[in-house]
Amino acid sequence: MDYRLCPEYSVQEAVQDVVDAYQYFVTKYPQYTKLSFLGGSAGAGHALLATLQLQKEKIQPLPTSLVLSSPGPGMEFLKPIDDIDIHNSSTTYWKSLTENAPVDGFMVGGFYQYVIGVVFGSNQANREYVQSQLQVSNLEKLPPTLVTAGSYEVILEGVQKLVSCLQKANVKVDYKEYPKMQHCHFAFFEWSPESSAALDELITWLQASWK
Amino acid sequence: MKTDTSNSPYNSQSWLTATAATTALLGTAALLYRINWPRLLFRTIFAVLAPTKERLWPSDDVALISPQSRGMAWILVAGPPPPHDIHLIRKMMRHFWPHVWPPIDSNQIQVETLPTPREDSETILIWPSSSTSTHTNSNNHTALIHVHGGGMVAGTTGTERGFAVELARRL
Repeated sequence: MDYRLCPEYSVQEAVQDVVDAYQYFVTKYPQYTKLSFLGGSAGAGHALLATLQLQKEKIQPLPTSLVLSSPGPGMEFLKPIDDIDIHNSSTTYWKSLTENAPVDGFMVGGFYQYVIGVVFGSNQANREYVQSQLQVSNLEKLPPTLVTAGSYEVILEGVQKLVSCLQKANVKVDYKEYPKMQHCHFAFFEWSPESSAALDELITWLQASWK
Repeated sequence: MKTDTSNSPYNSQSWLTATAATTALLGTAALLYRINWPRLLFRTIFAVLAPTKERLWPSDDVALISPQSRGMAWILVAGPPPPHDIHLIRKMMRHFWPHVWPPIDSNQIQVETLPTPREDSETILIWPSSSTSTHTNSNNHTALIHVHGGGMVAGTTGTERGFAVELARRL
Protein backbone atom coordinates (compact mmCIF):
# COMPACT_ATOMS: atom_id res chain seq x y z
CA MET A 1 0.00 0.00 0.00
CA ASP A 2 1.39 3.30 -1.11
CA TYR A 3 0.91 6.75 0.34
CA ARG A 4 2.08 10.30 -0.14
CA LEU A 5 5.40 11.20 1.41
CA CYS A 6 6.81 13.86 3.68
CA PRO A 7 7.93 16.58 3.54
CA GLU A 8 5.86 17.49 0.47
CA TYR A 9 2.75 16.12 2.17
CA SER A 10 1.74 15.85 5.80
CA VAL A 11 1.62 12.73 7.94
CA GLN A 12 -2.14 13.18 8.14
CA GLU A 13 -2.44 13.11 4.34
CA ALA A 14 -0.32 9.97 4.19
CA VAL A 15 -2.51 8.27 6.78
CA GLN A 16 -5.60 9.39 4.88
CA ASP A 17 -4.24 7.61 1.80
CA VAL A 18 -4.03 4.39 3.78
CA VAL A 19 -7.58 4.91 5.07
CA ASP A 20 -8.85 5.64 1.54
CA ALA A 21 -7.21 2.54 0.12
CA TYR A 22 -8.66 0.45 2.95
CA GLN A 23 -12.11 1.87 2.29
CA TYR A 24 -11.74 1.18 -1.41
CA PHE A 25 -10.87 -2.42 -0.69
CA VAL A 26 -13.66 -3.13 1.80
CA THR A 27 -16.19 -1.49 -0.51
CA LYS A 28 -15.10 -3.38 -3.60
CA TYR A 29 -14.59 -6.70 -1.84
CA PRO A 30 -17.16 -6.83 1.00
CA GLN A 31 -16.76 -10.59 1.35
CA TYR A 32 -13.39 -9.97 3.00
CA THR A 33 -14.47 -9.62 6.60
CA LYS A 34 -11.27 -10.48 8.39
CA LEU A 35 -8.68 -7.89 7.58
CA SER A 36 -5.36 -7.20 9.19
CA PHE A 37 -2.92 -4.39 8.85
CA LEU A 38 0.75 -5.26 8.70
CA GLY A 39 3.32 -2.52 8.56
CA GLY A 40 7.04 -2.23 8.92
CA SER A 41 8.86 0.82 10.24
CA ALA A 42 6.97 3.94 9.11
CA GLY A 43 4.40 1.57 7.61
CA ALA A 44 3.71 0.24 11.09
CA GLY A 45 3.19 3.78 12.33
CA HIS A 46 0.83 4.50 9.46
CA ALA A 47 -1.04 1.22 10.02
CA LEU A 48 -1.51 2.18 13.66
CA LEU A 49 -2.63 5.72 12.87
CA ALA A 50 -4.91 4.52 10.06
CA THR A 51 -6.60 2.03 12.37
CA LEU A 52 -7.25 4.80 14.89
CA GLN A 53 -8.67 6.93 12.07
CA LEU A 54 -10.91 4.07 10.87
CA GLN A 55 -12.24 3.68 14.41
CA LYS A 56 -12.85 7.39 14.64
CA GLU A 57 -14.75 7.41 11.34
CA LYS A 58 -16.58 4.20 12.33
CA ILE A 59 -15.66 2.50 9.06
CA GLN A 60 -16.68 -1.16 8.94
CA PRO A 61 -15.33 -3.74 9.05
CA LEU A 62 -12.49 -2.62 11.25
CA PRO A 63 -9.22 -4.54 11.13
CA THR A 64 -9.36 -7.71 13.18
CA SER A 65 -5.69 -7.56 14.09
CA LEU A 66 -2.57 -5.46 13.71
CA VAL A 67 1.04 -6.43 13.15
CA LEU A 68 3.45 -3.62 13.85
CA SER A 69 7.00 -4.47 12.93
CA SER A 70 9.61 -1.99 14.19
CA PRO A 71 7.09 0.86 14.41
CA GLY A 72 8.50 4.34 14.03
CA PRO A 73 9.13 7.19 13.62
CA GLY A 74 6.49 8.83 15.75
CA MET A 75 6.69 6.82 18.95
CA GLU A 76 8.37 9.88 20.42
CA PHE A 77 4.92 11.39 20.69
CA LEU A 78 3.16 8.65 22.58
CA LYS A 79 1.46 10.08 25.60
CA PRO A 80 2.50 10.31 28.32
CA ILE A 81 5.45 11.70 26.42
CA ASP A 82 8.96 11.88 27.67
CA ASP A 83 10.69 15.17 27.92
CA ILE A 84 12.04 14.96 24.42
CA ASP A 85 13.72 17.69 22.48
CA ILE A 86 13.56 16.57 18.89
CA HIS A 87 15.30 19.75 17.81
CA ASN A 88 18.40 18.53 19.52
CA SER A 89 20.44 17.23 16.61
CA SER A 90 22.20 14.69 18.78
CA THR A 91 18.80 13.05 19.29
CA THR A 92 19.82 10.98 22.27
CA TYR A 93 16.49 10.80 24.04
CA TRP A 94 16.55 7.03 23.77
CA LYS A 95 19.70 5.19 24.76
CA SER A 96 19.14 2.75 21.92
CA LEU A 97 19.60 5.56 19.41
CA THR A 98 23.24 5.76 20.31
CA GLU A 99 23.96 2.35 21.81
CA ASN A 100 22.51 0.43 18.87
CA ALA A 101 23.75 2.77 16.16
CA PRO A 102 26.86 0.67 15.44
CA VAL A 103 24.90 -2.58 15.24
CA ASP A 104 21.70 -1.61 13.43
CA GLY A 105 22.84 -2.44 9.93
CA PHE A 106 19.70 -1.05 8.34
CA MET A 107 19.20 2.31 10.00
CA VAL A 108 22.57 3.66 8.97
CA GLY A 109 24.20 7.02 8.71
CA GLY A 110 21.94 8.76 11.22
CA PHE A 111 19.03 8.19 8.86
CA TYR A 112 16.52 8.00 11.69
CA GLN A 113 17.56 11.33 13.16
CA TYR A 114 17.38 12.78 9.67
CA VAL A 115 13.84 11.49 9.22
CA ILE A 116 12.75 12.89 12.57
CA GLY A 117 14.12 16.26 11.51
CA VAL A 118 12.40 16.20 8.11
CA VAL A 119 9.02 14.94 9.30
CA PHE A 120 8.66 16.53 12.71
CA GLY A 121 11.52 18.92 13.34
CA SER A 122 10.15 21.88 11.47
CA ASN A 123 6.58 20.76 11.05
CA GLN A 124 4.41 21.52 14.01
CA ALA A 125 1.26 20.23 12.28
CA ASN A 126 2.80 16.76 11.94
CA ARG A 127 3.84 16.77 15.58
CA GLU A 128 0.44 17.88 16.79
CA TYR A 129 -1.37 15.36 14.63
CA VAL A 130 0.65 12.39 15.83
CA GLN A 131 0.56 13.59 19.44
CA SER A 132 -3.21 13.96 19.31
CA GLN A 133 -3.65 10.44 17.93
CA LEU A 134 -1.16 8.52 20.03
CA GLN A 135 -2.75 8.85 23.43
CA VAL A 136 -3.43 5.90 25.64
CA SER A 137 -7.12 6.79 25.73
CA ASN A 138 -7.26 6.48 21.91
CA LEU A 139 -5.49 3.13 21.90
CA GLU A 140 -8.04 1.35 24.07
CA LYS A 141 -10.18 -0.02 21.25
CA LEU A 142 -7.38 -1.36 19.10
CA PRO A 143 -7.70 -4.97 17.96
CA PRO A 144 -5.26 -7.69 19.09
CA THR A 145 -1.82 -6.49 18.16
CA LEU A 146 1.54 -8.11 17.56
CA VAL A 147 4.51 -5.79 17.98
CA THR A 148 7.97 -6.94 16.90
CA ALA A 149 11.43 -5.48 17.11
CA GLY A 150 15.06 -6.49 16.84
CA SER A 151 17.22 -6.02 19.89
CA TYR A 152 19.81 -4.22 17.75
CA GLU A 153 17.39 -1.53 16.59
CA VAL A 154 18.13 2.12 17.12
CA ILE A 155 14.46 2.71 17.89
CA LEU A 156 14.14 -0.24 20.26
CA GLU A 157 13.12 1.92 23.20
CA GLY A 158 10.42 3.62 21.14
CA VAL A 159 8.96 0.22 20.27
CA GLN A 160 9.08 -0.86 23.92
CA LYS A 161 7.34 2.34 24.88
CA LEU A 162 4.53 1.61 22.43
CA VAL A 163 4.11 -1.86 23.92
CA SER A 164 3.90 -0.45 27.41
CA CYS A 165 1.28 2.11 26.28
CA LEU A 166 -0.74 -0.61 24.55
CA GLN A 167 -0.64 -2.70 27.72
CA LYS A 168 -1.71 0.32 29.74
CA ALA A 169 -4.64 0.74 27.35
CA ASN A 170 -5.61 -2.92 27.93
CA VAL A 171 -5.01 -3.88 24.31
CA LYS A 172 -4.38 -7.57 23.77
CA VAL A 173 -0.76 -7.16 22.74
CA ASP A 174 1.95 -9.69 22.05
CA TYR A 175 5.52 -8.45 21.89
CA LYS A 176 8.33 -10.33 20.24
CA GLU A 177 11.87 -9.02 20.46
CA TYR A 178 14.30 -10.86 18.23
CA PRO A 179 17.84 -11.00 19.60
CA LYS A 180 20.60 -9.43 17.55
CA MET A 181 18.30 -8.43 14.74
CA GLN A 182 18.17 -5.07 13.08
CA HIS A 183 15.41 -2.72 12.04
CA CYS A 184 12.68 -4.33 9.92
CA HIS A 185 14.59 -7.57 9.71
CA PHE A 186 11.55 -9.46 8.36
CA ALA A 187 12.13 -7.84 5.01
CA PHE A 188 15.41 -9.73 4.69
CA PHE A 189 13.85 -13.17 4.80
CA GLU A 190 15.64 -14.20 1.64
CA TRP A 191 19.09 -13.79 3.09
CA SER A 192 18.58 -14.34 6.77
CA PRO A 193 17.29 -17.68 8.06
CA GLU A 194 16.46 -15.94 11.33
CA SER A 195 14.23 -13.48 9.50
CA SER A 196 12.62 -16.22 7.47
CA ALA A 197 11.78 -18.17 10.62
CA ALA A 198 10.47 -15.01 12.26
CA LEU A 199 8.25 -14.41 9.25
CA ASP A 200 6.73 -17.84 9.72
CA GLU A 201 6.01 -16.99 13.36
CA LEU A 202 4.37 -13.78 12.28
CA ILE A 203 2.15 -15.61 9.82
CA THR A 204 1.17 -18.17 12.44
CA TRP A 205 0.14 -15.33 14.74
CA LEU A 206 -1.86 -13.70 11.95
CA GLN A 207 -3.66 -16.88 11.05
CA ALA A 208 -4.55 -17.47 14.70
CA SER A 209 -5.96 -13.94 14.88
CA TRP A 210 -8.31 -14.75 12.00
CA LYS A 211 -9.83 -17.79 13.69
CA MET B 1 56.65 54.30 -14.19
CA LYS B 2 55.68 50.78 -13.11
CA THR B 3 53.68 50.49 -9.87
CA ASP B 4 54.43 47.66 -7.43
CA THR B 5 51.12 46.05 -6.44
CA SER B 6 52.46 42.81 -4.97
CA ASN B 7 51.52 43.81 -1.43
CA SER B 8 48.22 45.31 -2.39
CA PRO B 9 45.05 43.57 -1.24
CA TYR B 10 43.73 44.30 -4.70
CA ASN B 11 46.22 42.05 -6.45
CA SER B 12 43.59 39.84 -8.05
CA GLN B 13 45.94 37.08 -9.14
CA SER B 14 47.36 36.38 -5.69
CA TRP B 15 43.91 36.55 -4.15
CA LEU B 16 42.61 34.06 -6.66
CA THR B 17 45.49 31.70 -6.05
CA ALA B 18 45.11 31.93 -2.29
CA THR B 19 41.35 31.41 -2.47
CA ALA B 20 41.69 28.43 -4.80
CA ALA B 21 44.36 26.84 -2.62
CA THR B 22 42.33 27.34 0.55
CA THR B 23 39.20 25.97 -1.07
CA ALA B 24 41.04 22.91 -2.35
CA LEU B 25 42.59 22.32 1.06
CA LEU B 26 39.32 22.68 2.94
CA GLY B 27 37.48 20.58 0.34
CA THR B 28 39.98 17.74 0.60
CA ALA B 29 39.91 17.90 4.39
CA ALA B 30 36.09 17.85 4.37
CA LEU B 31 36.08 14.89 2.01
CA LEU B 32 38.57 12.93 4.07
CA TYR B 33 36.69 13.77 7.23
CA ARG B 34 33.34 12.75 5.76
CA ILE B 35 34.31 9.41 4.31
CA ASN B 36 34.67 6.57 6.74
CA TRP B 37 37.42 4.74 4.91
CA PRO B 38 37.43 1.44 6.84
CA ARG B 39 33.67 1.17 6.43
CA LEU B 40 33.91 2.05 2.76
CA LEU B 41 36.55 -0.63 2.25
CA PHE B 42 34.50 -3.23 4.15
CA ARG B 43 31.38 -2.40 2.23
CA THR B 44 33.14 -2.43 -1.11
CA ILE B 45 34.44 -5.91 -0.40
CA PHE B 46 30.99 -6.91 0.78
CA ALA B 47 29.34 -5.51 -2.34
CA VAL B 48 31.54 -7.77 -4.43
CA LEU B 49 31.03 -10.85 -2.30
CA ALA B 50 27.40 -10.47 -1.34
CA PRO B 51 25.91 -11.89 -4.55
CA THR B 52 27.16 -15.29 -3.54
CA LYS B 53 24.61 -15.05 -0.74
CA GLU B 54 26.86 -17.19 1.37
CA ARG B 55 27.51 -16.70 5.01
CA LEU B 56 30.51 -14.46 5.34
CA TRP B 57 30.63 -14.12 9.06
CA PRO B 58 30.71 -16.36 12.13
CA SER B 59 27.23 -17.25 13.31
CA ASP B 60 27.42 -14.91 16.28
CA ASP B 61 27.19 -11.93 14.01
CA VAL B 62 25.04 -13.46 11.35
CA ALA B 63 22.02 -11.44 12.29
CA LEU B 64 23.89 -8.36 11.31
CA ILE B 65 25.56 -9.59 8.21
CA SER B 66 23.41 -12.15 6.48
CA PRO B 67 20.49 -9.84 5.65
CA GLN B 68 22.72 -7.78 3.46
CA SER B 69 22.27 -8.01 -0.26
CA ARG B 70 24.20 -6.72 -3.16
CA GLY B 71 21.65 -3.96 -3.54
CA MET B 72 21.90 -2.87 0.04
CA ALA B 73 25.67 -3.11 0.05
CA TRP B 74 25.80 -1.06 -3.12
CA ILE B 75 23.68 1.64 -1.55
CA LEU B 76 25.86 1.68 1.51
CA VAL B 77 29.01 1.87 -0.56
CA ALA B 78 27.54 4.67 -2.57
CA GLY B 79 26.42 6.28 0.65
CA PRO B 80 26.01 6.63 3.49
CA PRO B 81 22.57 7.58 2.23
CA PRO B 82 22.76 11.25 1.45
CA PRO B 83 20.26 12.59 3.93
CA HIS B 84 20.14 15.94 2.22
CA ASP B 85 18.84 14.43 -0.99
CA ILE B 86 15.44 12.89 -0.55
CA HIS B 87 14.97 12.46 -4.27
CA LEU B 88 18.10 10.40 -4.61
CA ILE B 89 17.04 8.21 -1.70
CA ARG B 90 13.63 7.72 -3.28
CA LYS B 91 15.18 6.93 -6.64
CA MET B 92 17.34 4.25 -5.08
CA MET B 93 14.42 2.81 -3.15
CA ARG B 94 12.06 2.71 -6.10
CA HIS B 95 14.33 1.80 -8.95
CA PHE B 96 17.25 -0.11 -7.60
CA TRP B 97 16.09 -2.17 -4.68
CA PRO B 98 13.28 -3.96 -6.49
CA HIS B 99 15.88 -5.65 -8.63
CA VAL B 100 17.26 -7.54 -5.67
CA TRP B 101 13.95 -9.32 -5.25
CA PRO B 102 12.95 -12.33 -7.24
CA PRO B 103 10.49 -11.60 -10.04
CA ILE B 104 6.83 -12.25 -9.41
CA ASP B 105 5.80 -15.69 -10.59
CA SER B 106 2.51 -15.15 -12.36
CA ASN B 107 1.64 -18.82 -11.91
CA GLN B 108 1.55 -18.25 -8.16
CA ILE B 109 0.60 -14.63 -7.81
CA GLN B 110 -1.54 -12.16 -9.70
CA VAL B 111 -1.35 -8.48 -9.15
CA GLU B 112 -4.09 -5.88 -9.36
CA THR B 113 -3.19 -2.21 -9.22
CA LEU B 114 -5.35 -0.22 -6.88
CA PRO B 115 -6.98 2.54 -8.94
CA THR B 116 -6.55 5.29 -6.41
CA PRO B 117 -5.20 8.56 -7.76
CA ARG B 118 -1.83 8.60 -6.13
CA GLU B 119 1.15 10.11 -7.80
CA ASP B 120 3.62 7.44 -8.86
CA SER B 121 1.51 4.93 -7.01
CA GLU B 122 2.43 1.30 -6.69
CA THR B 123 -0.42 0.33 -4.42
CA ILE B 124 -1.38 -3.15 -5.46
CA LEU B 125 -3.60 -6.04 -4.53
CA ILE B 126 -1.91 -9.40 -4.62
CA TRP B 127 -4.04 -12.46 -5.23
CA PRO B 128 -2.95 -16.06 -5.13
CA SER B 129 -3.59 -17.19 -8.70
CA SER B 130 -5.66 -20.18 -7.67
CA SER B 131 -8.21 -17.99 -5.95
CA THR B 132 -8.25 -15.09 -8.36
CA SER B 133 -11.24 -16.33 -10.26
CA THR B 134 -13.20 -17.28 -7.18
CA HIS B 135 -12.29 -14.67 -4.62
CA THR B 136 -15.46 -12.73 -5.22
CA ASN B 137 -17.70 -15.74 -4.80
CA SER B 138 -17.28 -16.75 -1.20
CA ASN B 139 -17.64 -15.13 2.17
CA ASN B 140 -15.51 -14.61 5.22
CA HIS B 141 -12.27 -14.24 3.35
CA THR B 142 -9.18 -12.91 5.01
CA ALA B 143 -6.99 -10.15 3.69
CA LEU B 144 -3.68 -8.77 4.82
CA ILE B 145 -2.97 -5.11 4.14
CA HIS B 146 0.71 -4.37 4.06
CA VAL B 147 1.81 -0.78 4.51
CA HIS B 148 5.35 -0.16 3.36
CA GLY B 149 7.95 1.69 5.39
CA GLY B 150 10.61 4.17 4.45
CA GLY B 151 10.65 6.59 7.34
CA MET B 152 7.65 8.48 5.90
CA VAL B 153 10.00 10.13 3.43
CA ALA B 154 11.69 7.48 1.30
CA GLY B 155 8.85 5.46 -0.17
CA THR B 156 9.82 1.82 -0.21
CA THR B 157 6.86 0.40 -2.09
CA GLY B 158 9.01 -1.09 -4.78
CA THR B 159 11.49 -2.38 -2.27
CA GLU B 160 8.87 -4.11 -0.20
CA ARG B 161 6.91 -5.53 -3.11
CA GLY B 162 8.93 -8.70 -2.86
CA PHE B 163 8.20 -8.90 0.85
CA ALA B 164 4.48 -8.50 0.21
CA VAL B 165 4.60 -11.20 -2.44
CA GLU B 166 6.41 -13.51 -0.06
CA LEU B 167 3.79 -12.86 2.61
CA ALA B 168 1.04 -13.71 0.13
CA ARG B 169 2.89 -16.86 -0.87
CA ARG B 170 3.33 -18.09 2.71
CA LEU B 171 -0.22 -17.23 3.72
